[in-house]
Amino acid sequence: MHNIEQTRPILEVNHLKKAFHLHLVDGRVIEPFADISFQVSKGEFFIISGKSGIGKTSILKCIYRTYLTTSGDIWYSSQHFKRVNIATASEEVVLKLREHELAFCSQFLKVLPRVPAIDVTAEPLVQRGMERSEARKEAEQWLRRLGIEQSRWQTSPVTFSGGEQQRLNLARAFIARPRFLLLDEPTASLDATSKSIVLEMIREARAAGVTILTVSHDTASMQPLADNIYWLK
Amino acid sequence: MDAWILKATNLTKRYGPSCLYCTALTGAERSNRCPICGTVIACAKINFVLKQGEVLGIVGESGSGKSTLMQIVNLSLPADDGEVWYRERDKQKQFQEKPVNLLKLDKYTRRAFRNERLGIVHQRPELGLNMKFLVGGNVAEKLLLANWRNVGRIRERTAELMRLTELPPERIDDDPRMFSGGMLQRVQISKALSSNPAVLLLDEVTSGLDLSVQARVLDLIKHLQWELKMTMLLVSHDLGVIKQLASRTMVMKNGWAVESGLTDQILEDPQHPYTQLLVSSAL
Repeated sequence: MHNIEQTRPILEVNHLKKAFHLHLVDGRVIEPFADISFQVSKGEFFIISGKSGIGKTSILKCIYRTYLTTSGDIWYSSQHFKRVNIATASEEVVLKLREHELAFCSQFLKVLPRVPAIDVTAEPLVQRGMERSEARKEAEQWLRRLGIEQSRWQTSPVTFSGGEQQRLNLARAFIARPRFLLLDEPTASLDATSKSIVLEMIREARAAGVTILTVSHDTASMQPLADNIYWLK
Repeated sequence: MDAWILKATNLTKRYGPSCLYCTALTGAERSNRCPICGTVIACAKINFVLKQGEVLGIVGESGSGKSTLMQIVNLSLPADDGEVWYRERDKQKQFQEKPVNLLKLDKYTRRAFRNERLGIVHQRPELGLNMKFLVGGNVAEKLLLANWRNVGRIRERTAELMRLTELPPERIDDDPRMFSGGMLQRVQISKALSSNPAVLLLDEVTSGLDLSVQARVLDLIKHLQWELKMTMLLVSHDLGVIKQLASRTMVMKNGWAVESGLTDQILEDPQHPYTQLLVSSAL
């Protein structure tokens, strides 16, 4: 039996619609999706799936406010601000949410060159005010866990393979222990071993109470973990 | 209480006689030059708020008024209209209740403020440096004006900053005319950072730097932002630099702010036609 706090959705998306006005291409309007509604409960592992180009990542980006929502609501139950409509919230509130509660893990790692992998991983912690040496220690644990050799920790992730970069990217998302995690194709370019490590990380985070919303093609390997799957058509 | 440290309202700068029709006949979509009196509107009603530790990026084409805005905030150029409010913090790092309008300060307070609280990196090194002073002297100038009195400590600090910006510290007593453009840029950065300013103004900080030094300098700036909670205004042509450093970005055109928002939103979902052109033109 769930109590009320658990059953109230942490994220409620109502009639979400996004339109891109391409002023440079004769003012053409592109609508990746319209009328999307779903709810994510606290502590859930929620998957959005569907074929390429249907707007899965765009939904995630709307929730993270990288994209401005054209119409519809994105209600998020925050720890700091109670219920926030991310679609219309002020920039200040969104920045606060990103700093303390929301994390977005994109498909591609974009980092400053010449910064060693260990510091790249520790970055989210340093950003939150943790001592650099302490943050590094924690980053070491994550790198070891994700199977990145110790000899490479001092090199820049620019030299890493695609799969290694993705693992590093995931480490950056998990290390900050967000309350709500948005993952964009977390297993896309990973081999079977790394994939199982990532799935284990997801399982662990969920057990710790983190709500995870992910966009993925790879429903086969994620389905056993998922609490809910939303199919885009 | 929100923790803003610097707030600009309605900043306007005109070059020229200005007539009754200036505002009506210029604008982001037209031109910044009034066709009747020839006045150039460099900045038109610019507003922004900077919170402690925040980095605001400013992008826009050449001549859109970015540097003019920086000069006004650096208190080296009088504005025609508008205010720049600053909130001082006391020893316990608590914000004081009453903000100060920096543009209304008298000449002496203004100079002291600029030396102690502000640091600026100009686009052109010769604007920020005195080419008749030695390299060390240039950095020492700012430290002396910010009330540093111990020569040994001043030299130590200068050498430390030179190492941070990857300049050979043994060249502290060289003539700046013997330095390359990129090296002068780094001397400027050292000078700007020397007194640990509350607000750092960076005007094209990475232009003229070779790529390896650029990465080093950007990493340095990132850590100033996180570890010292330094507040910054960052003007750059390079959208990659803006993306790495700024949390919010303002886009300027013909003196007007045409769009502002979260940096990733500006770069990935630009709304204004000009911003779309700018973003789609980036490499």
